[in-house]
Amino acid sequence: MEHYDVVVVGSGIVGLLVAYELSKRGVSVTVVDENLEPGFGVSKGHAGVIHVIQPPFSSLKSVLAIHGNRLYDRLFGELGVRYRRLKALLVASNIAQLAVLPLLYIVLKLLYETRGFKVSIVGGRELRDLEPNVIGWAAIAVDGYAVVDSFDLVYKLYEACRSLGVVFHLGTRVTGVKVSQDHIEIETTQGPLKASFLVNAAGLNSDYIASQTGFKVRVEGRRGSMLVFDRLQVRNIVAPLVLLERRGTKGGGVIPTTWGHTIWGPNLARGTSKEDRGVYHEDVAVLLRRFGEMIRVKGRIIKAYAGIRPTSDKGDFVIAYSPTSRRVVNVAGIDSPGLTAAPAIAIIVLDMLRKAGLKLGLKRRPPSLRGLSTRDKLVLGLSVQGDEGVIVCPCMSVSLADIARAVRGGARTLDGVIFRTKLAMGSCQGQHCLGRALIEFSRMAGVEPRYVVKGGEGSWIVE
Amino acid sequence: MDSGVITIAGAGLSGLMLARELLDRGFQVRVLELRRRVGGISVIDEDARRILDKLSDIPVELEKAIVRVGGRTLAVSRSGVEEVVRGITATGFRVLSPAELGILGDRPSGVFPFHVALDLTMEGLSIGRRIAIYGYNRYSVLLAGKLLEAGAREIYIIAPEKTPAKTPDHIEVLEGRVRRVRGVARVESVLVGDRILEVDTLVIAMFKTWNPFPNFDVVGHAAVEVYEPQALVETSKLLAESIACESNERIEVVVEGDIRVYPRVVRRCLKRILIARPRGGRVKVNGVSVDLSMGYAVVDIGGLSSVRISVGG
Repeated sequence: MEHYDVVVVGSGIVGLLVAYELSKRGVSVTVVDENLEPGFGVSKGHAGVIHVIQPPFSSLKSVLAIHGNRLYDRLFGELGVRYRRLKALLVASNIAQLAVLPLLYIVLKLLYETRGFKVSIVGGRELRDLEPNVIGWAAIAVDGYAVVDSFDLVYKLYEACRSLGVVFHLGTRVTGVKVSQDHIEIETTQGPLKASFLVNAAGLNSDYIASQTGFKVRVEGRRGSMLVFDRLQVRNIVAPLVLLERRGTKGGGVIPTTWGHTIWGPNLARGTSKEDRGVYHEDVAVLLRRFGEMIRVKGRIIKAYAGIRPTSDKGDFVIAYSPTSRRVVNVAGIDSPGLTAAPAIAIIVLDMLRKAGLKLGLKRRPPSLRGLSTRDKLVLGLSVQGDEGVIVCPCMSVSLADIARAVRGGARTLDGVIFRTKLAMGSCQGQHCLGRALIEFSRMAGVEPRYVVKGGEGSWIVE
Repeated sequence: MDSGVITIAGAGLSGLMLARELLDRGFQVRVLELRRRVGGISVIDEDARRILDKLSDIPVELEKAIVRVGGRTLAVSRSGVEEVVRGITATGFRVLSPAELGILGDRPSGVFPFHVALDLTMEGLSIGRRIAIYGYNRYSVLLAGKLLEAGAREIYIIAPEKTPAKTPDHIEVLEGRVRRVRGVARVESVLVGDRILEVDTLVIAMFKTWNPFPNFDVVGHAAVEVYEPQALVETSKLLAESIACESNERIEVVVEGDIRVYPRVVRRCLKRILIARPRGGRVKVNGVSVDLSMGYAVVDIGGLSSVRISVGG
């Protein structure tokens, strides 16, 4: 039986970061995930925002968001992930919002300026200069937000982990966990695994894994929908000024992506489900109502998608040992701002493992993953050659060489190629490229077209 | 790239026809094609194929894409990158996305934009067995025929608007709007109006004009929503005539209602213009009634100093 120091269940941002930090310190790690690719669970469906403000301010998630936010600059630099620092603008566009603006400004200034995030009031003219496409009277600006290409983050982490020796068991479901005195045995659909420690970062399934080790937590799925527009509407994250949390969401915003689109959302849908990633007409209506009047020139909606937040019944992030054994660390209920907090969560998990007896070595240098995509090269005015010159997706300038790189990086599904390369994510939504992309991916991966899947099992594309 | 050369983006029917018309007038022309084949969506159109066959001598540079990066327009291929100075967009229709058509729900495998369905079918691959095609037009009917040949068992064409009395006899045409897609891994059903249609594939065959290169002139389906091959040929002829004009003097064209006029800028030397209206009907051109039952008409405007077009007549 394979034996590791640590088995991490879940290959979302949290699981990958834990595996990455452990493997840098010489720990032998395996990651198990039921999905065919890393980051295909909770981490697939969010808006890629690194937050600052997170009510309630005394919560663990609020504290870890600040800590995680600060850790990201070094991490992004280390991995070469595409991101951009920007402000969040909370915009007042009616009397009621204008009336609460000074009070909220003082509260935010007291809370966040001491922690190094500048908070300022932006007047009408300044707002027009800053965001000519936004309609509003005034705003509170909070510095220190960021937008990140979260797929770039997932796949750079995945590649870094693999080159540091982390063994991935993807498409592998955990069916049982046995905790003994000195080790942990995990039953999976692909056979058993043995490890000295277990990190449960299983997202929507973290309650199941926790229950297997005697830890009780309930995790509910809370759906959030997003709309994608084909152009940049704003330079910063823009949201209507609302007095904080209603029904456990910040209400989303107008978010500029690192690749030239704009995301509206996410909202918080009614009800709970761990499976339903559908977008409904009422979700779209909510988003259009919320942001429609703030943005002058919108462009075209090219996509609507939804993600699921794993929200715990404790109302906050849960990071805890199992009562049966300190060899098991549970990370559950990591809903928003989970992406922001993830590096801080990883540090806590490492510390808990160390206290439980895991030996951490000296930090190794992470591998260098730098490499320019065809689009990067064209933007920089560099020459391209060979397969780099064979453009498959003209909207996003994705070439055969980019698809080949995705396959080398471990892409096993067409979505894996799409998320890694941005293929089919441009204005034409794949009409000119998806056919060729399927054929080329099939050839490069050595899989017949009829066995290529879009994302999950059973998602066949051609027969 | 030599600024004297006109670069045509796309080797479909209108791109190739434009190349022929410009070559005949003594211009230097290159035709660049993203795909490894010519013909665009006209490859499944017998009427268009007859015209394409006569254009097979036009040299085409295959697997050569035009992209816009950082405000520059570049031709990219295995042999490298060149800046395109003077180009014409002949990249065809844009397929509407499910989101902009108001089709929500799950996002399983099996929802194809028209061109992807066509490309995969042309490669000999089967995109599904029970297929709904959203959009009722020349191309959706042609694709339906092609898919039946390729082994599809059931095909439904879904018409978002009232259909004409005559429908193709071998394909079921349903009226209604597609509102939702359901399916975990692969499409399991689509909701059409209030009816659940159990299919494993949804092809979107609703089109709009689109020019991805705003600094380029534009021809064919990228410029006008027409569904007759002859109309594409006409846009190419008109643009070539317009490019060949010596003078820049323009004719004023006033349009009332949902009517498209091609070319958008009408030069005085141009003797004819194309008027398009996908819904058909009749229009009045300077008081004279014109039949648009084919979705378009080419109208003589020689000698006129201004043109006024309105719906009705």
